[in-house]
Amino acid sequence: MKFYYALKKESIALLRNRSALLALFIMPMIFILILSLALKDVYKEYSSASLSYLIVNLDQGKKSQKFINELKNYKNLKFEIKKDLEKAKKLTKDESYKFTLVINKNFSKELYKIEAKNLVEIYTSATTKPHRKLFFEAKVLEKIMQLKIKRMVDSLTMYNDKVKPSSAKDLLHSHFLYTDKNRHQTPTSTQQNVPAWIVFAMFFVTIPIATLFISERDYGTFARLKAMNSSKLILFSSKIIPFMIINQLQLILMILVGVFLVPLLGGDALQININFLALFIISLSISFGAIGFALFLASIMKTIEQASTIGALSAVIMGAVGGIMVPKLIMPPLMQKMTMLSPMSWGLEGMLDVFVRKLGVEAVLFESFVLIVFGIISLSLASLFYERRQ
Amino acid sequence: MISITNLSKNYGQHQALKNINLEMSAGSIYGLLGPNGAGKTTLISTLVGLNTFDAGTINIQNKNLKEELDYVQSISSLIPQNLAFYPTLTAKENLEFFAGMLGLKGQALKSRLEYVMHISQLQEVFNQQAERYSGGLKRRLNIAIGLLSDPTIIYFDEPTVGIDPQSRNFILESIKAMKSDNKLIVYTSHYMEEVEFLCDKIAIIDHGKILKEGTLESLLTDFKALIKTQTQSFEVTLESLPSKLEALLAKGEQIKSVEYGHKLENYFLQLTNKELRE
Repeated sequence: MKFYYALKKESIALLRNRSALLALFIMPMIFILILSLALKDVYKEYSSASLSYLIVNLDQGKKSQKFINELKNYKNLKFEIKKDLEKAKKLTKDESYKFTLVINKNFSKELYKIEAKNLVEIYTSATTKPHRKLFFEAKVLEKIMQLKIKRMVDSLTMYNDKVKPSSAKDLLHSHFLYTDKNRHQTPTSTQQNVPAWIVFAMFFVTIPIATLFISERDYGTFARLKAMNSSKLILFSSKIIPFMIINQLQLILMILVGVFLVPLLGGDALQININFLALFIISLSISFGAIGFALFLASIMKTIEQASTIGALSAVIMGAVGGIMVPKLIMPPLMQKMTMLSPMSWGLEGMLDVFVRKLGVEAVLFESFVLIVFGIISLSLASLFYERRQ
Repeated sequence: MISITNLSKNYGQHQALKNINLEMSAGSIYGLLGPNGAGKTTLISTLVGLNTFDAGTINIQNKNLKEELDYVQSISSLIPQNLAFYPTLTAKENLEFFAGMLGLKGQALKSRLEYVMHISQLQEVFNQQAERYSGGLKRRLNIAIGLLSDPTIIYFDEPTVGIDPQSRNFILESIKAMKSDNKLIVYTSHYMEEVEFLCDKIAIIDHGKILKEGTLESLLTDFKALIKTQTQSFEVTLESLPSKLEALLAKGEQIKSVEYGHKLENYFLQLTNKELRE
């Protein structure tokens, strides 16, 4: 019964704290919208995203047309034909396109000659990364070589028309050697940002929890409750449950934003063909860790102002280290290892297991365990410091 | 009802309570008078079990505080100096919460709520958030919460700080009305007139020590008057003042001034010295 009254009080106090609710719900929503759209192309570089380029065909022959038709087979390399070379170069220089492929006027004439030179030229925009340039050059060369080989094969008349010559894809199979199965799948911008900001928002409960906790301590409410023989367990647990509910509401709202609002603004929709039980487990674990940390912080801070500043700062630092703000996959190896120091990183990995890698309960158990241990340690320290302050 | 023997309490190097000996009886209002930082709040916090203590014994209703803390807390209520409630909650929500934490339910809860509402006269603002109340209303809510458990011993820690005269008068009259045969009210203040108005017995405390204890009359009997003549100044008891003045005049001494007053404030300042406190 005491727990019921404590829970009711805590819930009313939280619902009347409008600025805290705004920070808990609106702030992560805005982050999700801005970053999912802003980082859309960055993530594409790490996934199988398409490249767009221009073709200027200076050749009048049929072979160059055949070459262009062959290039169409690359689904991730999309091109537009331009007649004016200078305009195409300008568009590439302005970063509107990554490359301009110029088919020189002697292309058809020279293609099948053994001593053929200068068949094509490539102009690359200044910011294009070297590995993308090499990739594009290799793809163009592959098609040229295919045409040349086909001609050689035809001339030998060993095969009839029904036999299709091998492509590079047929000859070579490439594999990643992952250290951890499924762990290197790259998320889309939305698929990374929604779980990331859910984790961040959950840890942002630090501020409202600490604010209420410190005001209770400073106004003597805790002392009064202690004089009434109220147990510390009730006081602490009454703070954990309402904020766990708030955290789950944050999760639902952020998912709805990812599924419905982000695509409306031109971003990729969040895919939710996921294991909901796994999501529930990792979400509760993050929540427990975050609330434990909030109570620990509240118990060591002297003033509400101090708690607000340190609470926000610690959330930002944990977010930065933990791969919320800068995705782990683009961090250097040392930084990737350092993410383990942030509890947000464990939460994020669990969320990515669910949202990106589409894994089940088993995959999130370890991250959940780490977060629960973190929460228990934080709560124990909070209890210790609470006693000292009393 | 409360018997304190050789009580001492230290905060590190600072001795907050020094060898306190006090007896407080049921059916009375006991005043603890002292300047800021004298040790009043430390003493009553110790009596409700919020503070531990280093030496001495405290018996409340013949029960040892350390051994029977739960019982002592069940019959005591501390009305703290701070407004110890939730400003964003209404009076109703606050009272229901604290009643719930006391384990009140059903009819008992209802009748206690009605009683404290009547005592504190908060009916009109019952459903308003407490942060919108005036200072006086906030004090009354603070007191109402403290009365929910129907305590046998009520500790009021400076309950009239920062409120208007009307609210102050209302609170003082309410406390006086609470006095009954089986209750003990302990009232701390540094306002002399409140202690004079309310208390049957008074202890003057400073620097953690009890300087004087007794009824108002007995304390004032000890009060001394200051006589200044052309050549000397000295203190005499109030009782001996007339005869001493006659003797001086008979000797032909010129009396410059006589400082006296049958007031607790003069006695308090004399005992605690006149230096400013934090």
